Amino acid sequence: MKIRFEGLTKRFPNRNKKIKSEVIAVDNFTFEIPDGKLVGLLGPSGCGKSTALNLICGLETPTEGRIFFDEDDVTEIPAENRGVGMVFQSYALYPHLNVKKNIMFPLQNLKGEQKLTKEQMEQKALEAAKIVQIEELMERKPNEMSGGQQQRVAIARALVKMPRVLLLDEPLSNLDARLRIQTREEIKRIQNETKITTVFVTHDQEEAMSISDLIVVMKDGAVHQIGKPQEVYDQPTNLFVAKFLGTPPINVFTGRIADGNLLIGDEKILGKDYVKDTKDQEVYIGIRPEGFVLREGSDGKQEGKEGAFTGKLLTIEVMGRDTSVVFSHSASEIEDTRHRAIVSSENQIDPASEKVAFDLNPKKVFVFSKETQERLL
Amino acid sequence: MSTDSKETNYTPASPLVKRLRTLKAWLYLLPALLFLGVFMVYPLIDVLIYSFEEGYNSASQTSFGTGWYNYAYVLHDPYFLQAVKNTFIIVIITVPLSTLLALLISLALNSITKLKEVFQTIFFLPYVTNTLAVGLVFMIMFKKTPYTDGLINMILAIFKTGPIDFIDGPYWAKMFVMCFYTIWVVLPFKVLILTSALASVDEVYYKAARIDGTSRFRQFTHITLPMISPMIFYLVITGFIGAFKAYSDEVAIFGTNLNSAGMNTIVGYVYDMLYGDSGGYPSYAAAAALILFAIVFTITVINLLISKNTSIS
Repeated sequence: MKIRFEGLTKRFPNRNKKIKSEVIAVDNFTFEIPDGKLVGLLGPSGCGKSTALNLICGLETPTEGRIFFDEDDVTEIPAENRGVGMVFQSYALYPHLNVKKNIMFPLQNLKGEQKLTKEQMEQKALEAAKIVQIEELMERKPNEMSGGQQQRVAIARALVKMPRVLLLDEPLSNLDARLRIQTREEIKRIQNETKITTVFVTHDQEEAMSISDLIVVMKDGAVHQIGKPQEVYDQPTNLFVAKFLGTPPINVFTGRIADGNLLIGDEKILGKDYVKDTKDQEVYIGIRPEGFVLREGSDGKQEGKEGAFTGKLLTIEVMGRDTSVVFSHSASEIEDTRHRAIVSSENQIDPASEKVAFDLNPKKVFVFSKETQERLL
Repeated sequence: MSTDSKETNYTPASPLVKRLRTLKAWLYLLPALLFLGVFMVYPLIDVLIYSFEEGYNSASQTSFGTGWYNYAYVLHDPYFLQAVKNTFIIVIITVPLSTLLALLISLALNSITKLKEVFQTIFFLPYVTNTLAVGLVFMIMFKKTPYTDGLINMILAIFKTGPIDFIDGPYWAKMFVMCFYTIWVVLPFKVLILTSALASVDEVYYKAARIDGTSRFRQFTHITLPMISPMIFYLVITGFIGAFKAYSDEVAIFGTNLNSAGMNTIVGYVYDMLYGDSGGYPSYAAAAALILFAIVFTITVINLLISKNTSIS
């Protein structure tokens, strides 16, 4: 089932009562979440992504705008009648009930024609438990399980009534690093199996990138970009999106476009082929860590040649598969930033050398207007 | 390095050092132990001894002999039996009723947002009010005098019943006032405990329940009640103990001569045996006190067993 937003807006009164202005948690959402996809709402904390989730499930009512499930307008429908399943950040498993009773809980609420016999309920609970592979834990209490297991129970409880939409609020934030990777694959698998349209909220770009079919990048209540993870990574629409995605983060420098060249400081880093007809102006230049190509004999001797980018070498971190070259640059957007270039570990770099020179892969270089921070190139 | 130096701090102590350490620990405990010993353990043992000494006289420190005589006397004393009956009626009526009422009030308090603090304060006021002052207010409300029938009887008159003499009248009327009073006095504490227990239930459970279409009633019976059940059990157990020890509340309404009012309690009986008109019988008082102890002990054990079983299932 697809979810459509039309001018969806949620404003909260300011918590500080002296301030009259309202807080805009969700600002004029108009987009569609396609059927059967896994969608990640991504943004820094406080950007309104959880509010967006609460609007979808009906725990919050929008100030303006409408929400559609397929063609049904669900804006006025209370949470209990929307047919959504939700997994909360803290899982919200009932501590006094065992796994089986927790999973059966939503089924026991069914009334009238939908009412199930005890056997049917147990059957359904077992099916849901099998999807998340916890069928052998049915008698356990929540506090007798690990975080990962509790997470699975919470997903099973959300799935048991076959919701039209599955919502996950920061599903991995309470898990340790190893479990996080395992669980995110699990979520992907479950979504693939059930084909239920799934929306999850996260502030961790890696999490969103790794499993989403589509990511929605948000900031301050507004949607900044929607797209497939790789598209968003390769073609960020503005500086915020470019900065928010990718680990290690993108390296941002101040520079300018002059006479058809892209310059950082006095160095021409890219020429006419890249800049084309863009008019001369001050810009931010973002370079992905993998966009740096180490120059042969890069001890800084070839400095000054066109296309060169020279930084002050700080350290070299050998990671095995590849090497991080840590350097600083006088034109950093934020002073004294430790920039990172990821190069193949086959490169030999003399750690004692003062400077390091790179060629740049133009596909990994993004240019943003200094004024609007929107992407120019 | 730092871990090394830490380890050297924990070299095995010599026997002498160990003994000195133990001694030091006891020294720290001494003031508390002395206090407890003199004011708790010694009197308790003394009471136990008195209860088995026939005709003990505290002035001459003499007795006729030892045996179960005191217990036999107390258990056959109609005043004691009346006190036991009164106490049990008060316990059985007030403990469940006050807990239930407190739960309802707490739920109401928890669901309102406006004036919540004001109502909380109002409900807590009886807790900080003096028992005897409250008793006086109840007297004024219920007592029938040659000049007025009292506030309650005036209200009853509207419904064409009464007047009833609640303070000197029939037993059930007096018992009604007594239970009414007891519930009113114990309510604030229970409301306080239960409101905080309700507030401590994580909001997210209700959100999860709402999304799953759980009715308000089922939310209460399947989420709220189990979550606050430890607090309810706590209140029931302390409520039982408190109600069994009731005495001052009775005095506040019916005065010190509870036997003639027929409203005595077990603790009241103990007091009377020691100091009342029929006073001067510490042995009977001791026996009655120990019988009360046995009753409270049994009830508490039963309560604990029940609470344990329900929390497991």
